[in-house]
Amino acid sequence: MKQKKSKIRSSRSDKIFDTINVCLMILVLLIMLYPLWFVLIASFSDPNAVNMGKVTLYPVGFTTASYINVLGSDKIWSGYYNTIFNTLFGTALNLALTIPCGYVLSKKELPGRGFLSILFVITMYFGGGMIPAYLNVYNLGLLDNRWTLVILGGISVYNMIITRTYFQNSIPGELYESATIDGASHFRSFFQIAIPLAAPIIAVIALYYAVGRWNEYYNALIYVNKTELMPLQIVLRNILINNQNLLDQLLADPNATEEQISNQARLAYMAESMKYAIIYVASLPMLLLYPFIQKYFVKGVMIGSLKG
Amino acid sequence: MVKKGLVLFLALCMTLSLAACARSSDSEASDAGNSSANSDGSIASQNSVVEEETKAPDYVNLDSALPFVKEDSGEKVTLSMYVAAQDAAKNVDDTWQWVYLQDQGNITLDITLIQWGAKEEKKNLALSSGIIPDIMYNMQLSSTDIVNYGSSEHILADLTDLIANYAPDIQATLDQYPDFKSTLTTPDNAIYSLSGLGDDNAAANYAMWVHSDWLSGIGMDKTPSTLDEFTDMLVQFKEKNPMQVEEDKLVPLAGYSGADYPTAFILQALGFQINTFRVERIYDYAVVGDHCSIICCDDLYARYLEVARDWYEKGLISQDYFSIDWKTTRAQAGSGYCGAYAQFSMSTIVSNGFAGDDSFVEKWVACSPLTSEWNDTPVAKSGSGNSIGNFTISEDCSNKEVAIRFANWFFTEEGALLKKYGPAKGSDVDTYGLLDGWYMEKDETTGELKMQQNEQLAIYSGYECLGYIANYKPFPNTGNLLIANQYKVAGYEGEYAKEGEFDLNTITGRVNKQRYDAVAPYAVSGAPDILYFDADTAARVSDLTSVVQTYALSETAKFITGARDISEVEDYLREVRAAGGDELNEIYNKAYQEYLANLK
Repeated sequence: MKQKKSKIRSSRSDKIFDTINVCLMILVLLIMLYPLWFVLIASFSDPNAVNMGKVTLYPVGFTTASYINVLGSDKIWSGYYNTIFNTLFGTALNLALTIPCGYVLSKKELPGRGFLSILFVITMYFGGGMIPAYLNVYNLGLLDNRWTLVILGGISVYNMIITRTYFQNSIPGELYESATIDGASHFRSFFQIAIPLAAPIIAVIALYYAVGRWNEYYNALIYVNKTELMPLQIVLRNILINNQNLLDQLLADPNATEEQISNQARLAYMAESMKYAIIYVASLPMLLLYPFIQKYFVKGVMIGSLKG
Repeated sequence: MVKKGLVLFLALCMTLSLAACARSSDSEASDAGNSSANSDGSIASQNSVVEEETKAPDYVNLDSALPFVKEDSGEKVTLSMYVAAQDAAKNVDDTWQWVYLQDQGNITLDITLIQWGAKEEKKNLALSSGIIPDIMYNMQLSSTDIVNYGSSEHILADLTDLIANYAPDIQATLDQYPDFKSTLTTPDNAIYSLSGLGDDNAAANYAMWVHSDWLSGIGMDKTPSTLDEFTDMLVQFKEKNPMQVEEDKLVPLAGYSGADYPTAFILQALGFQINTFRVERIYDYAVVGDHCSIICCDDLYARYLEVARDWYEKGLISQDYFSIDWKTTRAQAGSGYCGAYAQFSMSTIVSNGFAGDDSFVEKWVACSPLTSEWNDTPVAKSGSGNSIGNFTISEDCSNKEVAIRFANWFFTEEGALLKKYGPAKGSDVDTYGLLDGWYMEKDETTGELKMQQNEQLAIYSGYECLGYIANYKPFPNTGNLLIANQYKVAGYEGEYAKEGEFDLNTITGRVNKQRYDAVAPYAVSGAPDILYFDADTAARVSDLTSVVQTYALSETAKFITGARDISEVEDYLREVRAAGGDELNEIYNKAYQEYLANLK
């Protein structure tokens, strides 16, 4: 006999509460979404309308000129390639360093575990500074090298602590003990027990690293000079800065012709609306990927927390 | 057991490698420390070597501008360079200038192109870390950088003797133009950087443009010449509204507290010798009357505040003067909401898309600098063509003589023209297949001579930071002008526009002529744009400026908007001087006197 689903009737106060709740959430959603929406419509609007504040809910003077200007730069595509390269290989390196490190430090029987943990934590708060880091990279011959941006930032201590906490709390030690009794070595325990069970944390940490790598900017600015190695964020920054700076340079040059100034003024003026196009060009891949990986972010918020 | 041993061995290796790294970095640091500690001594010894032997190596060519290294010497000289380049700049191997200089100069240039957006960071990193190339080109070192890393830390080479012994064209230029030399000379009487010698442009000021329809609408047939007349004109714009603009949109004098900065003209009317194009900041240093002063600390600044307050109170300037931006003000001008606007050229409004076409531009009339009851001489500071910090040689460069010969080429007549435009079409200068060469041709209809530039010109304008940039400053030995040489090479000798002449057949020419006629007759040199301070003084100036700047800007906004009563202006002067204005005045005056002394 088919069982009827029992339905709990909501009381009047519950309905009112739910209604108010939903309304508030919709309001919060609109507040959160509106900036994204505004950037989108501004990127497709006439720069003059944007500057005059006429763009509010829909594009005014629809134009794709901003995107044409941004995507027309050939350096954009090499920027995309470099960013994807750095993200893929960088994330792989990050995981290869972070996961074993977190696993090892989760073992209570590791000699000097406390001392090593302190050493790691110190680096979270204190650093040598930019000049020693630059000297280090220079002396290692890593300036203007494709692998520099992959190697630098190999491990985030914050992520490593999250990983360590996960290994400590989410995988029972008895599993390792029984594996040891059965003759498993440390390496076998790591690869055949820890890694398969650590899939959630690996996914979360990979996500954190990938997003960080995608937005990587500072290391490229300091350690890379060659245009062909520039990641996307640097390329976009240069497009914006060059359009404005060249105008300032021309304006300061008493020998600059009116035509040069007018042309560059037009580009500087366009740069105002190009900012919005650049935001989407830079973040579109992540925006498209996010719906598929959002659940891992949610898990990741709590996954490194202490339990019990 | 074996595994334990292996683990212990690996841990020991890791520890030893950390210690080794620390030891090697310590020894490098101690070497660096020793070298900096001994820098004075080692430089003293180098100087004594130079004093004993001021003879260049045999392979350096001193007989002509090119090559830098003698062809038959067999010597291979490589100079490393940082070159700041715009995003549009091509690779080194595709840029004619670098290919030419390497080929004809018989040297190798190991150039690292620095993206313009990262120039400041890269420059600071290089100078702070001490890892600098032989030559830094177009990196725009500031006066503080030059004093710190030249005079104090001796990372940059003193070029004085090198110029005197190996760079005759540079030396002749410095002798011919003492203000250029004084700009480059630091307080320790050395030259650590070179730069471009540009024209002093009397008309490189923003003009106050007044709309002719608005003028005629209030019954005026010419632009005002005094501050009172100008204020009356604005009041009449407001009251009579000759163009019937909606009242809430009407702004007699559009502009804002940033670049399109109309109240700078009040400062000029009071006698401050400022350049409205550069938009002297109120915490800058200016000649005023018979003395020099930090603008916001001078007695006359109180009068500025009173006039600006009056304008604001009467609604003659925007009530959002401190919060709007350049786009809004230009839109106001382009939409016909204002009768007066400060700008380099009203063509900018058209090119920004705020106004329709050039007929808009022709409606505006340039106003000359104003006088007032406190100043009876119209003044406008010329745009200076001098700069610093665009060419430096590292103290560790082992081929300083070659490096200075390289710089010298930019100051020769041939070099100045080639670096500006590249080879002319049909000339015997090798293009290496990288460009077609520039030429000039006359428009058949208008008879206008137009330059057909090669595609690398945009890059040259970015690289044009060294040597002769000035069109109208004669070369020392021949008296020729760069622009005259250009037209001669193009086959149109003598047909160039003389200084102050403009092609009235073009809108650009007419606008430039208007601005020139309005501003140039009153051009003065004013205080130099660049003054040098030693490291300690520069730090003190920076500290004082940040305090004075913050206070002056905030109080200025308060006085103009009425948040602070205008009767308290004398209190403000006491406060700002006590906050550091007096000390700043003293420091700047001392540096200015040193500048004047170097001019002699």
